[in-house]
Amino acid sequence: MIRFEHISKVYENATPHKDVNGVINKGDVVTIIGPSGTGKSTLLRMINGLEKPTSGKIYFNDEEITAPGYDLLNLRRKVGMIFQSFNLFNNLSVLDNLVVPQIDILKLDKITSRERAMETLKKVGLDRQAGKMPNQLSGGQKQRVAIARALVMNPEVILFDEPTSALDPTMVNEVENTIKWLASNNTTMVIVTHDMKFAREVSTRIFYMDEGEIYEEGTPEEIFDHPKRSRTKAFISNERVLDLNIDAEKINPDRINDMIRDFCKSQKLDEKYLYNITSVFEELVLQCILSYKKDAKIAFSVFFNGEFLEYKVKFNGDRHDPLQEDSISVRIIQSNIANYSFRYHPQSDKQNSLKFNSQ
Amino acid sequence: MWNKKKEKKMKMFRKILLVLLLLLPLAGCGSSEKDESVIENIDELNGRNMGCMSGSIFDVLIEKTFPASEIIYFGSRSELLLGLTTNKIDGFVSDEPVAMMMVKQNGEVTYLDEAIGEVNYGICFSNESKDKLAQFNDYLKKLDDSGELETLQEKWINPEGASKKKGEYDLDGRNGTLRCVTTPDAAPFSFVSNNDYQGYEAQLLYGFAQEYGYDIEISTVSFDALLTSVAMNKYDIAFNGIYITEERAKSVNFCTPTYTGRVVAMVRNNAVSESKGFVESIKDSFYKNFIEEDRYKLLLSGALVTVIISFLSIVFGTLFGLLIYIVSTFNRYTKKILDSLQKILSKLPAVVLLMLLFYVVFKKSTIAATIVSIIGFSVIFGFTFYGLLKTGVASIDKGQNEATVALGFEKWIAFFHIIMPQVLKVILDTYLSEVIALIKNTSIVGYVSVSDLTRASDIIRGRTYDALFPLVFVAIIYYLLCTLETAIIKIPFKWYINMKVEYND
Repeated sequence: MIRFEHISKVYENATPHKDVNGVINKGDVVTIIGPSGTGKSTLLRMINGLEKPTSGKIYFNDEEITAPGYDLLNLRRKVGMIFQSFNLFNNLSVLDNLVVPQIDILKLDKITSRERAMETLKKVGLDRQAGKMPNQLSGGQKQRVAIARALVMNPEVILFDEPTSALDPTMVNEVENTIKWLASNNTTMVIVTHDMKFAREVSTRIFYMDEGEIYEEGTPEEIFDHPKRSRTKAFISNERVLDLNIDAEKINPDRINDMIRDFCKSQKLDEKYLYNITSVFEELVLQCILSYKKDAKIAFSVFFNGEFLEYKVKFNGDRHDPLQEDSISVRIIQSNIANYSFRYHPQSDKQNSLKFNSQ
Repeated sequence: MWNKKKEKKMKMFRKILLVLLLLLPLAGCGSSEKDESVIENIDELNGRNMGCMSGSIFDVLIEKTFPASEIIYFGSRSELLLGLTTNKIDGFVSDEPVAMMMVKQNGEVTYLDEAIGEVNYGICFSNESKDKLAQFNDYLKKLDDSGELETLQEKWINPEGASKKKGEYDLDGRNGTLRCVTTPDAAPFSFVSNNDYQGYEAQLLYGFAQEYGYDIEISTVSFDALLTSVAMNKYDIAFNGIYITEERAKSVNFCTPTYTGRVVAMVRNNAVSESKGFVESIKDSFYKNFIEEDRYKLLLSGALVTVIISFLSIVFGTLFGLLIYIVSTFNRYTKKILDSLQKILSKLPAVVLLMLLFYVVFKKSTIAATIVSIIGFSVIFGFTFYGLLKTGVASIDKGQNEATVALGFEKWIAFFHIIMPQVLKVILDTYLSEVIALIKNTSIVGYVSVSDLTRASDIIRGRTYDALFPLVFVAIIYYLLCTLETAIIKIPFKWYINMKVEYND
């Protein structure tokens, strides 16, 4: 149904795709997983033409959609899409969110589109909310309305771009259950997610993306239980460790915040842990270490052992224990951590090495 | 419930303020404390505060005659008069014909018999109308020789001059039309009475036109723009009892003086202090400013012009703004060009832009000044609306737009059905305050010879020498116009924002 042939995508300072090849068949539920920055979302957005590959071809039902002049409007009417941030139309009621696209795009009349809309809302269990405005709904309900809005257009395939990432953990389930229900009805779907448990449960096939290609693909069992290639193995086993290697000269705090957030999502860690990691990172790395040594190279890793977070931080240079200073930052760190230990080996690697737990 | 109560209170508060505003002129009518000293000759005036119209030629005269006096500048004759009656100044200098009018209108002032100078009056001709100037000078010469000129001067230049009529003239226009312009606030030389142009110079021009086969067309412009409009050849002839000075003669061509008048000093008339009752004086002011010579008609037609210009500018401007917004989305370059235009326009005062448009861009065209004003304000308002649209669209999260693309909406259907209603909701309040700003801004059209509401009040003030009453009245009309127009403009916007595919349970 969908076929990628030698897709590459080149940005000015990054090359997420070098040579992506793959096939998605009718009835498939394909989940795309992989480390951050490997172009999972970009690949998904190429399927309905929101992004264009730098080179390579994409086929939809054996038509080349990357050909110049291809009727993208028509393609997009056959491909539904669910976004991380729901993207409901805020000025329209829940019902009208489903009615207006039918009138404007499918050119159906008001009565038919209203009937179809109510029918679809019933399927996702929201027919009672039809008269509400989007801002009166919870995040989970909003995402279910978005799914209904995609469904009501009768798409041949539905794309999910991190559908639960923006949700409060308590609401992830209702959305995931809706998607599982769709999967049980043989809807063709392509999903990008960080939630490995969900990926395993819902998918018929997994694409593991890394090194600018679909590095390994297979059934959930093959990928999660018996990965064949080294990077897949590392990703699956290291999935529970957040590893940040920071070069002071190229630091990008936004990207690091995203990685911390993704890590908490995938581990289903709640706000408390997210706050712990973010504040330790900001106070210790950004404040204490980088203000002491402007060109520090820092390794920052967090592991969740099921009970608390285990931190390991290393940085190069002369002996310096950042927690010996007396500053607001240090106090904030101390209020967040326990079992602090500091080591320095002047003879061997000249690394300051810190170890501690979350409280 | 609470909100309704609050709303009611606000409305009440507004009404009270409005009434207070109405009462303001009454305060002006009340008698202020009088300086009882009587000034009877020029020497007594030396050392006291003297008023002078800014930009006039009299400050030199004042310095020469009253070396010990301080000069305080005022914007118009009616303000000078007000300054004198409220003791801000002790005297000011005026030409005798106008002084006569002031004394006639306002018993509280008089002028000293002694002349302190002389001034020549003349009519200005544009560079392109030098042939007409020659004809006019011939005409004046003929009148002077026959003694008719003196008869005319006797008719107009006396305290009763402002109640005279120029008579009927039969203009065939076989040799074309004289495009004349005036600021009819200089009785007895040029003024408006019963909605017709009257005055000594008006009659001279009509007589001239009849004899030389011209038709006459008269426009009104504020005095600041009077000479410019002729210097730029926008009009052929300017008349308003203009003093002939060397400086002015450099940019326009004066005819031989139509009259030579004395310059006198105005002072308070403390001798006669017949103090009228409070109610009486209000009645008087009301009659003088609105009823006499059908002056309310002037205000009404001025208000109508203001409504037409502001309303059409808002409608066309809004459509124009939407159009350029659409054009700006075509590509990078159209956006850049429009953005820079917007930046430039937003930094130009509207009056400068309008004068550029009228005296430079449409210099040669015969499009009516009202239409030029509508064009000008439509462009200004269009770019304002364009700026509002840009910020409005930027405030709508990009995700919704992306969702319309992903669903397969056509670009403009999505824009008008999904994005635009939300944008308008965000910008509506700012938009309405821009509407009000525009309505108020139209008060500058007097600079390009449009007789709007402000201009009408200027003309009335020029005749009655009463500053407060017409101004406050005009303020109230503006308030009502703004309220009315925003209420009307709001209707289609609200309708569009709330447009829904109705939900029936």
